[in-house]
Amino acid sequence: MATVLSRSGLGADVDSLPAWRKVIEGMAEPGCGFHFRRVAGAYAPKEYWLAYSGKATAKAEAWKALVYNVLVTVSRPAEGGGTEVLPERLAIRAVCAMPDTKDGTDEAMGRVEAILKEHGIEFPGADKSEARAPAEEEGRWALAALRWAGTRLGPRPLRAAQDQHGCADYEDARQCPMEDVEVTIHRPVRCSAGFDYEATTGECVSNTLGGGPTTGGSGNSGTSGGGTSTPPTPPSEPECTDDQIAIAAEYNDPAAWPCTNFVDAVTPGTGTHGHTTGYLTVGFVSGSSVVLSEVAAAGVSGAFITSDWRCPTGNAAVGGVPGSTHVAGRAGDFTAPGFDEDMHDDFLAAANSADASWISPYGGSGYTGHIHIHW
Amino acid sequence: MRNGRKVGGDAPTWAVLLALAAPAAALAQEREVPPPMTERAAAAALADGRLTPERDRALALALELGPRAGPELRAAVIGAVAAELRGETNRPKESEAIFTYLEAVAQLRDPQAVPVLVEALPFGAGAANALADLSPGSLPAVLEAVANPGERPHRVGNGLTALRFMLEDGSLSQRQIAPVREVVRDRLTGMQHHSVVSGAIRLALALGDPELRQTVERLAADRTAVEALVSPYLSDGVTRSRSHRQRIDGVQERARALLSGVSFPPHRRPFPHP
Repeated sequence: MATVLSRSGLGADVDSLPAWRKVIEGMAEPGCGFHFRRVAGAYAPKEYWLAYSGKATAKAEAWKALVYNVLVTVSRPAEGGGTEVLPERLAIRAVCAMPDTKDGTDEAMGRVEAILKEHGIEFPGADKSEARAPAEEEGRWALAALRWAGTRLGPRPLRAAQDQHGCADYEDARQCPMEDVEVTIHRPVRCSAGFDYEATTGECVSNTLGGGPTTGGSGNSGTSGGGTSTPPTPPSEPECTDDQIAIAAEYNDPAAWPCTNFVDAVTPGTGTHGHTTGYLTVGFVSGSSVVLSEVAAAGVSGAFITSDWRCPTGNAAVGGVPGSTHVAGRAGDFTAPGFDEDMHDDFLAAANSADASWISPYGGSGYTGHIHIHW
Repeated sequence: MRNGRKVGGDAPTWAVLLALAAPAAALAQEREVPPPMTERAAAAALADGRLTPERDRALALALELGPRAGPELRAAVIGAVAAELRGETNRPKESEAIFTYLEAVAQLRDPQAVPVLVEALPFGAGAANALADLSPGSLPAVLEAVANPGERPHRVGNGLTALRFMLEDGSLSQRQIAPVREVVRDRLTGMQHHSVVSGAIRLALALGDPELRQTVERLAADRTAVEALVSPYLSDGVTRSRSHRQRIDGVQERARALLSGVSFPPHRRPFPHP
């Protein structure tokens, strides 16, 4: 029986897909722009994504794109026991064929570029930031992939990928097969009761009485599988809020932002970028809860979080470094009316009780208006 | 508000179809895409106190490499952390960049980082964990800080936590434990900041020393003993804490709980830290 791919976000049951197979089945989630971006942008730098986020969200239908030499990395368990193939985990398929040098990376990059040029995609601009192509968005995405690869594939990741995928088994790494990998993205499908989602065809197939296949509106084909059409029921899994979508559209590292990791819970404060909800790690959510309850027990009234999750834009605005713990949803700034060293000590004790990793001291190289705590 | 979703089936709206057929030798060799940062470049960026994107990339590289970073980058990270702790960089005030630096230096697992990690002890259990990772080599520096009567209370308190982590790891010999016992004894006498007392009580019990345990038992049972031990002042030693009474209660309650076998965070987080 086919695995039901019911989770949100992008993924596929790798068990139904032979590793190293050319076609990778995945799903893009129309409601979550960032999922679409994750794929469509192929790890696009933010500046590319932002320009297309609205369009991407609107166009988050099935689509198909060839991604340069993708190497499948089995990532993490997905809902239903399958193994999700996350594009952000897809290393460059050509790693085995590349020498473990910077030049090897450049060679791969050169290949992509040459191919894109063959298709009429030009890269004016000193940093190739202005893609020109017959279909502009295609060039954008391809360029984004190119740039991503350029920033992410250095000698070390290359070697790591080669190790991970057993390139050493080849007598000469350069003999590894070079294949193009086509990524096919389906919209998420929830089949009606009595039907299972068939990952290989993108259809809803009756799982009782040997009933004929029923089209589940798979994104890729969009055609009937030959049976009676039964529209799939809308996904019932937690959906992204508009706010979360907006947050995600601003984020520059989609790999770290699976929709399921959003915590759709009310947290005090609105963060530094005006969002009422954001991405918060489990550690932060539980830890901050402990902090707030402990300081309340210690007699601090009105404690709240001035800033927890920060989108990269907001983080940069306050001088945070990329990858800040705020951006990662691991940190919060806590305060309360009348915050001073005495109160700081209350928060500090609470943070220790919450097993925090790092805590800002009071004054000196720390702060006097709040305490930064992260897990 | 929930976003709506469309679930109707549509054909692909666009596609990118490319082929990779060109031989490698014939491919373009342009290098207009920014190359990955080398360790040397990262070290140079970190040595430059100015706020630059390269500096952030360098930190990211250091975090990625951790203990695999080469000597040059390690030294640069350690130097950058020291500069950041001294406020010698041009980061905007309250940028919180220091935490990224601290995580980077903690991940290096480099003995050369011990001084900055000791300096960073007021920043919490992360520093204590990193120092415990470097035990027993880090022991003397931590002991020195903890034993220094003029040291900042929160550095002492977290230093005591670092010593506890080392003890729990079993990385200290009996000969090395002896001065730990002494410093705990010292920190449970006289008048100490409440955070120091809390750390010392915890370490005292971890040491399993009968005499120190008796001290803790006395504190748990005798409020006046706690009142005599816990300073009513804040870390500056001048400003009276308005929470002194609660601190006394807290220390005593914690002592009782620990004696009954309850364990409290911060807990040891062995390397690699999450």
